[in-house]
Amino acid sequence: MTAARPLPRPLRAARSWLLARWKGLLIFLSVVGPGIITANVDNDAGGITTYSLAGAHFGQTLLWSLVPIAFALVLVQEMTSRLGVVTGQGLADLIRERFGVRMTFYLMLCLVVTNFGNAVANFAGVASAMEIFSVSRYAAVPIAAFFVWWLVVKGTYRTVEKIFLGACVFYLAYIVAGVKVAPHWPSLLREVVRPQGTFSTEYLVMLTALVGTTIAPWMQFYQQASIVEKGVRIEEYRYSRWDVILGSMMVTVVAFFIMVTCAETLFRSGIRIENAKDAALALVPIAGKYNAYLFAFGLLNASLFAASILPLSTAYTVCEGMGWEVGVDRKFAEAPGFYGLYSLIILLAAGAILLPGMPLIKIMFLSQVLNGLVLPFILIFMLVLVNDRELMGEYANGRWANAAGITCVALLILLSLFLVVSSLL
Amino acid sequence: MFLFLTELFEKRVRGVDDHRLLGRPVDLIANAEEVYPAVIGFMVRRGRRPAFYLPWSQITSVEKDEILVRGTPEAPGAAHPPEGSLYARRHILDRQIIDTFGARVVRVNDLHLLRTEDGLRLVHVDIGASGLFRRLGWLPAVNALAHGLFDYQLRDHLIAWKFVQPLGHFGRAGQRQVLRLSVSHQPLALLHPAELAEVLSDLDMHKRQALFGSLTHEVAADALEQMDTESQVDLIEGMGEEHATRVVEEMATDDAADLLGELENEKAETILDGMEVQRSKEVRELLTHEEDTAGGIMTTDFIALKTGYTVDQTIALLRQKAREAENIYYLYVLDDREHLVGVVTLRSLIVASPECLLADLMSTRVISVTTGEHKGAAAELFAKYRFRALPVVDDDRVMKGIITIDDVLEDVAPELNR
Repeated sequence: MTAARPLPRPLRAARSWLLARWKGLLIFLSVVGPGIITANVDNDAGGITTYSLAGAHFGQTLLWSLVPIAFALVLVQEMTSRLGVVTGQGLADLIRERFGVRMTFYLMLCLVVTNFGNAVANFAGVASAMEIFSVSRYAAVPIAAFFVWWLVVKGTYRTVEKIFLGACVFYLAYIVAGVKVAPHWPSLLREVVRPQGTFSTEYLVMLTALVGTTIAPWMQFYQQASIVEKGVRIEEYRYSRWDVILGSMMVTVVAFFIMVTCAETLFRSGIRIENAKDAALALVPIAGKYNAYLFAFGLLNASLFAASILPLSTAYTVCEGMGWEVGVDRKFAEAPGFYGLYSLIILLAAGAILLPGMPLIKIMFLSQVLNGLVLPFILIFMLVLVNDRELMGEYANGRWANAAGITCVALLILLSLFLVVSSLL
Repeated sequence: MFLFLTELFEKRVRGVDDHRLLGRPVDLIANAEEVYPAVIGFMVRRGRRPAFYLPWSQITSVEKDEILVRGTPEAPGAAHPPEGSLYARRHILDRQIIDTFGARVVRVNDLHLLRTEDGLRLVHVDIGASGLFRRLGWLPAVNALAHGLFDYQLRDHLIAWKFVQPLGHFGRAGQRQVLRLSVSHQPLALLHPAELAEVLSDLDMHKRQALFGSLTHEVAADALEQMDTESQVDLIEGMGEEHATRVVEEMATDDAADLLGELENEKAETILDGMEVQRSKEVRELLTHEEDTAGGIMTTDFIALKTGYTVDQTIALLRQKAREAENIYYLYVLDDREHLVGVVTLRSLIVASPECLLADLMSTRVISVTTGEHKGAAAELFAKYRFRALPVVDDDRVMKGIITIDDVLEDVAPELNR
């Protein structure tokens, strides 16, 4: 090779900078997914309902809470993905090895019940979204259930992940809807950075519900499992962290626009709503048919998305904890426990929507209470694990990370217990 | 008589003379180097104090509810289990192991011990539902229910220790360490390379890396050949250069070339430089061919014969070289300048008289492909002629390598590759 004339120094510097960036971007693209998907599924039917209610009933006064919520979300999800990258094991796996079979078993039992309730809520979301487009639930729900089941049983992890990442794009519907109602932006942004509280019980319950819908037990298991399945290496970890941050930001932005839309329309007109479907329908006279359709479409996408991931995550977690064969990349006969549980949850959850006289509200209520009860255990387990130097080596939590983590977890536990108590009263 | 670890952990440890409570066993220590590890002691804990080591020699008897101990145990922390011991709870219980009999990865619910005259031995691990229920404390209830309602007896699902490959644990630095087993206990040797590859792919990245690093070069190379390229690259990139070089050296040349082609240039160069000269030359040449040509999928591990050889000479040569060659059912005959001039089948070689010359025996109408041809052409020839191997020549008919049926299987029958 003949020696090429060396480039001038600034050009060389620029080139190596670009090369380093480019390489970084490539690595980022190879690890992106788990954080973004988990965070977006978090905006499921339940989440959208909560955000709509918060906007419709409290206007802009709850917007500020999104900032600390996003912060807590990043903190918790970062811990779980670090656990996954460093140990190469799922959360259920680690809990089983560290806390024994008894703890794991009862935890899994609770998780199945709360996740089942969540799945029911999301199939209900599919039903109500399609009813806005005047499609009967007796057609919509079975088709949705079959689609969701087929996707995972017939697909591989890679194709499933691509479809899920694609689904994240449709959350843009809410941003479009938010922009279309044309709020007064400067005053909105002021609301975001101005914490306030009218310490009424109703306000506090709403605030707690917002936190509760954003940080849920299943997310920790799902995110860690998908990080492990993706085989993210420790050298790539800092890119994985951006995946988590980006995901949490997306959730917050979508939540922001849902709340803004409802605040600008329903709150101004003083309309009370019960759920996300009401919100979409109530938008018709105020913001026009298309905004309502955008809302309904967003709800459909979110519900379908969560309805596929929740049963999947449940089956995955339980099999991992109990030591059964697991994995999207296996055939049915190779992992009967995994696919059996997965199929059963979908079948029962979709069935619950279609059978008249099922106590849907009670199921979802029970699931919410259990959610609040299970979350403290999981957060504490995570803190213990992430502090275990034998397990984590140099990647164990430092003093500051622990201070932030413990404060955040303590607050979350308080809030979730408050939610449990307030829903029981 | 057998007993389960769970049952053992429920017993109290007491002094044999004064019946004083010393604590409860929290772990069981065994000698990892035996085929059925003998128990050499317990870790015992009382209340919230740190656990202490209780050697087997101090134990007088294991009763129904108690373990009786002679004398007073040393002050906690005075004695330690020998280095490299097997800890039942820390290393095995609730952890994943490889069941090499069933060729799969499973999780251990309980351990099964045999009581002999001279002590306790670890003989089985329990991976079944009854082990799970025993741990939860539900076994009597579940058994009564199953028996009463369905007349069904819940059976233990045990795996003999000789089929159990433990997957190690985390050491101080957060690095996974594989437990050293005795020379006589090599459960992984029971697995077919294809099974080993599948088991490895079921493990998480860290366990896979640790276990793979503990295999001998030959076994590692055999398993590696059965994996998809992505897993191969992950494993090779995760191991030291020296070890990686030795493993790649043991692989068939075509598989080695495919793998090196996927690695980063720098890493591939280091490995090639470290390999034996002749081998590295062959692999480098294979790397010059385009991936989807016949040259790109061929291997150079073939047996070349000369027209002047007798049948006797040829068979003697085969005995020497058969191990390294990828296929010995077709033998290719070359002239002095390495041109492919004929082919002899193993069958015709065996039935021919010993002094017969290859020139008289061989079939001169040889079907072959050239290095530059698309690999699909080779696949078509396999489908048409039902060959097991196909010679590859360059444009001057100089023999370069062979393609075996497994190299084109994906092209012939893509549905096999799920």
